[in-house]
Amino acid sequence: MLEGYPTLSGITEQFDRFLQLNHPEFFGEKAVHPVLSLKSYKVIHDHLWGTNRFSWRELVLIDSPIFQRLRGIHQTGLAYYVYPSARHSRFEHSLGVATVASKVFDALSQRQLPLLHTIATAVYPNSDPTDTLSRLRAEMRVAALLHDVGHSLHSHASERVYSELGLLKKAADELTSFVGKEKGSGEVISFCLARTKSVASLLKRAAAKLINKDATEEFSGDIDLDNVSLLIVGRSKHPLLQFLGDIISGGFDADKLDYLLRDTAAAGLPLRYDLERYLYTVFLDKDVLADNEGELHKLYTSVGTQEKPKDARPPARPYKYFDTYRLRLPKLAMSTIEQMVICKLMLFSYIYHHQKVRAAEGMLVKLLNGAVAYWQRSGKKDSEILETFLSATDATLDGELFLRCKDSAIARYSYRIANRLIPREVFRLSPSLSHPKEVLVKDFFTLLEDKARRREVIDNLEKDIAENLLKREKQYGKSPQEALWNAGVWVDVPKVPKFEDMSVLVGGGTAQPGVPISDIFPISQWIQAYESHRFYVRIYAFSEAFEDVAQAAREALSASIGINDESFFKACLRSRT
Amino acid sequence: MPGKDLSLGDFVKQLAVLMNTSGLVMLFKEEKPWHVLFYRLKKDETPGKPQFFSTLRFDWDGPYPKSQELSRFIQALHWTGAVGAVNPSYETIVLHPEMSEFWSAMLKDFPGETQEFLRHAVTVAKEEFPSEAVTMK
Repeated sequence: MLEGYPTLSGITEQFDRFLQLNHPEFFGEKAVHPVLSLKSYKVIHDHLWGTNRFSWRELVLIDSPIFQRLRGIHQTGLAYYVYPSARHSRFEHSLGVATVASKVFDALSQRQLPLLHTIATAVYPNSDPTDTLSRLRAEMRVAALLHDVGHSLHSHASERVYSELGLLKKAADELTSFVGKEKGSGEVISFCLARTKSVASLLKRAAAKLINKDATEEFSGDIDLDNVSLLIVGRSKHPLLQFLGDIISGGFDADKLDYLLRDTAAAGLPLRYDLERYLYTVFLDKDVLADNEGELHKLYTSVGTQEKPKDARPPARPYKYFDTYRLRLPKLAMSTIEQMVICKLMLFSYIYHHQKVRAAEGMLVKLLNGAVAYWQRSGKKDSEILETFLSATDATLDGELFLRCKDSAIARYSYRIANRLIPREVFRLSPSLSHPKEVLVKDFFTLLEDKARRREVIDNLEKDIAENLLKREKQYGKSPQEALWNAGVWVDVPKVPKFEDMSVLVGGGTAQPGVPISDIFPISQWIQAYESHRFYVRIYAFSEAFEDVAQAAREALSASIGINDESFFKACLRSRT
Repeated sequence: MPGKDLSLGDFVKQLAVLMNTSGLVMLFKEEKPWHVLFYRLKKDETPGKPQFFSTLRFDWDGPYPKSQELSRFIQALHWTGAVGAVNPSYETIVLHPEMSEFWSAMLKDFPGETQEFLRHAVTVAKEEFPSEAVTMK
């Protein structure tokens, strides 16, 4: 399947070796797990979704080290430094996503079963459509369970660091081209892990241990791990099955349905959306997937699907295309969509972009970048560093790699994080700041949002701050890099919340032609208003360096933006006096 | 920025200035014309095309190619306040005169071939975007 994608193939093979070496009892040649015979299902309770069944196949994966590791990874990173109860893990989130994904699938089955049978028969003409749908449901649930197994310590904070490894960047480019849409490094790891021989062997052994195989209600045949790995990244083996990819990774996917409620509930924020209404209304709608460059055709061919793209028929269909079915919400669900958009915006505002959460996570990112540089200096290759992240949990910070690291700079940062000695906001800039020369402020922000310019602008600004700092006080070190490290300085430019997938969803009605959501609901206006008023670029520093950094950063900002007006900087300074 | 390769952001800013002076309406809520225009320019062989086009990524996840990078930058132009949506339904965006003046001053510093390509891009844009005369009706 991955012919022509050497980095993805290489990482998958590397993961097999890694799993066999580190967990021989589960994945080695003489693996013993599962030891006992397996009941067809067990029940797991969840504070959000109640009492839920998990099949023998799912339980074997849940009980394996690749999934158990998720117990030690906080879903919202270091947000618990601000919201003490936000201690939930990727483990319970992943169980939740599997539960919600099947709720969505079952809702579709309840209302559009004839259509689902037609699709199942079109894709697998030689199989009974009921069996096909059972298998697809099982594959979708496994994809939901495994969608986050690539996460490492403190979730997205570490993702920001390992994403910069050359090996993963290359793999993300290959995955993007392979599935025909932009994919990140985090998804690469889950995608590759799900399709390892190790996972396939574990499931094969489990099937042999199943009690009363013929009597079980759960699907007991083989599942297709190629399809599982594609569902994780929002695709599927056949264009007509695209809606399954949408359930796992799309605009209103099961991931979002779970984390919106789980993150807000754990943090203690009174935000909700109406899942029941979502389930009453969600439906499959016929659409097309344009494929002018042949990326999708190549993907489908590689997994054995014979479907060929249809020729372009301008003006309605100007590109080659595949017919497909997408997950849609009708006009009736508009209030649910509004609730979900508000939930997401508020989560960003209250939690993910909270100034102290950004401070803690920014410092963690600095620490992890420092550690990666240290490992690279010690001769570690990208593949070895990737394995370090793949073994890590949040508790790794307290161990030899960090808190007890031989490198005193790394140990010192780890100590500060462990004891919540996190930096303070020195300057806060917003695009809505008013100034006679506001054109300069606006241009500065557009440069930060220009992917090719962003890094350069941030690096230059940080370098200027460091040089100004060194001119003022020699105690901060001998080089700009040392000064930034010792004063705990960085320029924080958060990513704005993404809603691209939501904006293209069709919100017509089951019997009416669809229209873009933006035609009936002001989604753009809400998002724009949030970004304009709640988006900040911040400069952080350790409390003890606050005054020096304030001076150094003021000069650097003045040079970078082109404004030298005291009142402007006074408005941006976060001094307590 | 002059003297360096144009980035996507640089290009969109200059294009916005030229579209503005050519009387083209910059659609906002409906992003399709932007994506189709940039996809056409990526496939275009006209000399002077900036380097970034060769790596500009288009997703195939709907009825037309869509660049997430382009989409994010157009959105950012608005929320940074560089352009305004004076209409209540966010159908279109307009470039603020001071911003237009600031960015257009940079145009002359770009190589002549790049300026030519930008003008060519406006010609292609005329096939994808409505002109002011049309929207006024």
